[in-house]
Amino acid sequence: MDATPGSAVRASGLVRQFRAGAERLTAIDDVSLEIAPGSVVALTGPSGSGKSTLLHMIGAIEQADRGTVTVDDVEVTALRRAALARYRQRVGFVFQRYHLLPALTVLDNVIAPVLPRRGRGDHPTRARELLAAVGLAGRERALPAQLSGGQQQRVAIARALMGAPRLLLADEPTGNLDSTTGAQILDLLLDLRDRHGMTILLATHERAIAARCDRLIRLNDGRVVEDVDLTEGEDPADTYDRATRLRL
Amino acid sequence: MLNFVWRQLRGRAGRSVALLVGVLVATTGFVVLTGATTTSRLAVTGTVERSTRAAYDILVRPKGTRTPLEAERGLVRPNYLSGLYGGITTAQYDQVQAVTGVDVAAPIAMLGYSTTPVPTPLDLTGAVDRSLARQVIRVDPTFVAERGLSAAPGKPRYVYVTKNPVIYPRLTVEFDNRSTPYSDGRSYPYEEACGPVPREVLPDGRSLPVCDPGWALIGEPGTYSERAAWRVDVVRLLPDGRFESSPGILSGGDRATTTSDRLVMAYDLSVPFLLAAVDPAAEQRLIGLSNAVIAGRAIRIDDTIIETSAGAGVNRELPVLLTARSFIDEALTARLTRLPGTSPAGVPGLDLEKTLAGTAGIPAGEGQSTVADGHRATLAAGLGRTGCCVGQLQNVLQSGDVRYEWSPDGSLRPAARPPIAPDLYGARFTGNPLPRPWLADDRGSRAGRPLALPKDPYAFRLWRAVGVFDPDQLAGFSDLGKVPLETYEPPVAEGADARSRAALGGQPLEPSGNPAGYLSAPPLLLTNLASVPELLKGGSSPQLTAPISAIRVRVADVHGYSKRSAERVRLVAEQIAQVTGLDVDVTLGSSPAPQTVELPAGAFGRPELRLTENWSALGVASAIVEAVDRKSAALFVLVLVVCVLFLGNAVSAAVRDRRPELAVLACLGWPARRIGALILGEVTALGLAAGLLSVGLAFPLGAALDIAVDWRRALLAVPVALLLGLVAGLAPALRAARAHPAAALRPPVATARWVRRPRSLPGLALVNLVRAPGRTLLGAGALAIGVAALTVVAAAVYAFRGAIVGSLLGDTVSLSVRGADAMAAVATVLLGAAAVADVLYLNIRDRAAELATLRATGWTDGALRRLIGYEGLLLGALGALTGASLGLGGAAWLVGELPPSLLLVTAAVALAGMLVTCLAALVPAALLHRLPTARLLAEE
Repeated sequence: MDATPGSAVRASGLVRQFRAGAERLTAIDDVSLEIAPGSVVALTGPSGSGKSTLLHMIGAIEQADRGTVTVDDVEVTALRRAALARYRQRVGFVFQRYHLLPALTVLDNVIAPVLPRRGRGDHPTRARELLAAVGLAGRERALPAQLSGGQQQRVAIARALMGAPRLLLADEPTGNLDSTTGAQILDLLLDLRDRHGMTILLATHERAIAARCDRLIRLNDGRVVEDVDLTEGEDPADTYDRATRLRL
Repeated sequence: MLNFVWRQLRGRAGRSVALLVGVLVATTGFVVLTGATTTSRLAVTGTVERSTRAAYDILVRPKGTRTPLEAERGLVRPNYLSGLYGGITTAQYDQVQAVTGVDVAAPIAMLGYSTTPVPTPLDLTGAVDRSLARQVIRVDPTFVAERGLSAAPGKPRYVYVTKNPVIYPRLTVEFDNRSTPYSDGRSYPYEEACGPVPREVLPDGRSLPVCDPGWALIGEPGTYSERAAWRVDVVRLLPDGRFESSPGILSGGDRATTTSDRLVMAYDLSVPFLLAAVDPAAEQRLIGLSNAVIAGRAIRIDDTIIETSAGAGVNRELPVLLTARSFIDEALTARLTRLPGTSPAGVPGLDLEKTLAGTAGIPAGEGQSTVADGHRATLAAGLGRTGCCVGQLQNVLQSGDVRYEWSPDGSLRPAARPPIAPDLYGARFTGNPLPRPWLADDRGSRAGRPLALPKDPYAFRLWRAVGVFDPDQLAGFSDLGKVPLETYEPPVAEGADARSRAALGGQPLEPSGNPAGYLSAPPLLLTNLASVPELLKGGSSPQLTAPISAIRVRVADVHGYSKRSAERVRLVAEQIAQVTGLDVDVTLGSSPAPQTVELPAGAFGRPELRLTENWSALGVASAIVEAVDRKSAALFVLVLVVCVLFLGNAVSAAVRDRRPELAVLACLGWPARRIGALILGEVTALGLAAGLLSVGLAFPLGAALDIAVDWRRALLAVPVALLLGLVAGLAPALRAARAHPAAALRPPVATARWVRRPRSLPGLALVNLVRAPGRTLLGAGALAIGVAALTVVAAAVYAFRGAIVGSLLGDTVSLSVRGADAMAAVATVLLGAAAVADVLYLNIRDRAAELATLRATGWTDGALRRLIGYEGLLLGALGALTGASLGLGGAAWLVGELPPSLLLVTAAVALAGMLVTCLAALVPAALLHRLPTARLLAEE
């Protein structure tokens, strides 16, 4: 397995505004942050605080109006369209609504990101390995509709890992799941981080999930209002204590 | 409810406008395209009516004379009068005239060929050496015909030119076989072997005869060819440089002319003049014959045989109208040789040939002339006793019909016939001493027989021209709807292949001087029908009782082909057939149809020729009008189907887009019929708006495309748009009304039941198409209809062309409507392609989140475009192949067969359909990069 520590992410002065009728809403307002390679960072905040927008900007599916995003010394915000697509191939994305292709089997959904690049490796084998890694061995031929929400999210995670990403962006990955399944998904992500070496940036509003991350960045009205390193002087296993301390 | 509908439409303005545009395109397309088919139909019927105003509408021939070939192919050969000598009685003619509706009934009685000498001018002036006192100019002739392809040398003729005085026999006064009076007032002994010939007066006062070999040396006159005829003419070179001769020797003036500035020899060519009898009054009404008279007078209804006494006998003179054009392609070329110092004077007739042929000569140039030149020169002499034009009727030859055989390639081959027996042209005992035409010895296509004239040794029958008419001044008709008028027009036979065209020098083959030849010249002599019994009286010709060969009938109030005219003519034709029992053909609406004829090689060098002759195809106009009606109906239905499908697609897509909304309404307690009514209400409102807009659009579009769109058709757009909208909206409205709310709230794209692992982009494209079968089928169906439409249109055009081509009118009509047909077909396919583009666009809209996901996982825009492109290609292939199959089925039904050309067209159409679909897919593919990926992912 890949033992690299993951990507370093640096955002500087990011601004993103949307037009809503005659008004301009600022979704991200001068956000700067640095994320160390291999860390698991939780983005928290109320609905509309800018969590998803920030993730999309780092994942290059949303353009910044101002500011820069640099991932592993590559300034993402300066990339042109083709380079952006190549960049996105190295980033894993997990969505709250899974966004699986309903007509494809589980295995084919996992292969889907590399489908246009056939011939560059044994994709079905790797997809099966990833499905086994997310606990779905034997369900390769199932259709998404035949899976539970947690299983669908696992398929989405396996799909995100298909391109061997060094950066995994997860937008409310447990938002549609019950707490037990949500906890299992997070276990899976952390395990994958340990095994594959990735930086994970996840947006969540569940304190139990955020509390298990290395770092917590709280957003409000598009601004970073709190940035806490949860690993300093704490027992990483004591989730309850962390959550209490962070008023989650 | 109306308020709600209005708010719905206004609230989703973009979608409403899209649907409105869809209805507008379909409705305007319908109005303009149906306008195009109507315009095309009107153009065709107009062309047909204009082009079928012909000289006559019905052709009546003797019973049993319609050949099997004509009956089998629905044709009338251009030379239908050939070999047709009588068969219709005057009583039957009267019956035809009495039929109600007959405007003109013009009879024609073919009588036969009178061999007539045409004095063809041959200028020898340049060959004369004026310094010589006596010289002979030898003329070595070559007879040429049929564009120079047939040629044969003739016996040399001689012109003796002397400066000595010449005296001439006075043939107009009584003479016997003991002495002949001469122009010097004296009589000279008659010489049996010399005949009454000019005598040269020598300086010592003696005179010597210049014998005419034709008088006694050749034997039975009238049974030899003009190639074997020869003679010696005497010309005096006067001190003033002019030439003097006996009448008939020099050309360029009337037959009494005896002096001329130039020595132009009148070389008599034997030409068969075809004699026919017509009713002058009927002919005037049919074709304006009297109006075309350029000299003398027209023949009159009371013209008949004039008898004058001539010594012990009587001359029976038939007044005729002579044509100004000879129609015969025949020429004479001559090599001239001067024999200085030679004199035939005093040489006995028996020694003449030896004496003259044995004399060495000096080449003195060449000369040439044509029958047409001779005919012109003859006419130039003016009508009259001393001028033009007269000919014998002692021997009248009737050449028979042409019998055709089929060649394996479908062309016609006239059966070869041996030359007609020489004695049919004339003999001494029949009183016709003229040599037969040189081409009479050629192989021919017709048998010959004599016209059975009365045998009266004391009567000499002749024709005399009382007038001359110019065929070019007869009433003209369209070439496209021309009926056979061989009375006045020569047959047209052009080379059908490169070899024949090259042989003919790019010119058509024209009738030769062979009465048995394949091509017959029109009658050069027309006489009054009433004089025929008088001419034949005492003979045994069957034409005594049934003189008429054919009757050309024009029906009242018919001015070209229309369905009404056709019915009138049919009724008249039926009545004529019923009353007379004759063969009756309706020629109204016929058109010249080219047929290939293989003419066997001639005996005088003409090679075998492949010729194209225009026969008259009967019923062309009705076939065209019926075919255009069928085609118009087919196009109309196709356009309607495509427009409904296009609209159905647009409405269905609009309803599909609103499924969640409709589900919410259902959840809120709206009954199904209200939901259905809402959809139909929206579609109706849009249909009405689109219809009104279409009225405004149809006019400028029609004007731009040169399509007649009248107010009624334009206003038709409103009900059509409403009806189309309702028909197209009914199915989706019913589906929306019946759907369970929960089902409607599910994502619009259902999962595929059939799952196959996509191993490539085309595979994934296929999965995407399979997962939304309804929409895929709708899109493919639209294209299929487009392709099927184009194939069926091609088939309809093919069938249309098949029904009408092969005739000049059909070819012209076919060309004139090709543009309109092509436009309708292309517009239909474009509508189909637009439907496919619509499907692909909606597909992208429905799957926007999926595409956004793929992009988020690293798919490039290029990969996404390829995916959409493959979807378009597959959709196109499905639609094109289905359409091609449907189209071929329709085509097979329409045409009754599947000719290779149609298969080729279908393959091309299917390929073009796929190509157009791929191009159509470019539009939605180009919009991919505008997908709001982040918003789509967040919304979902």
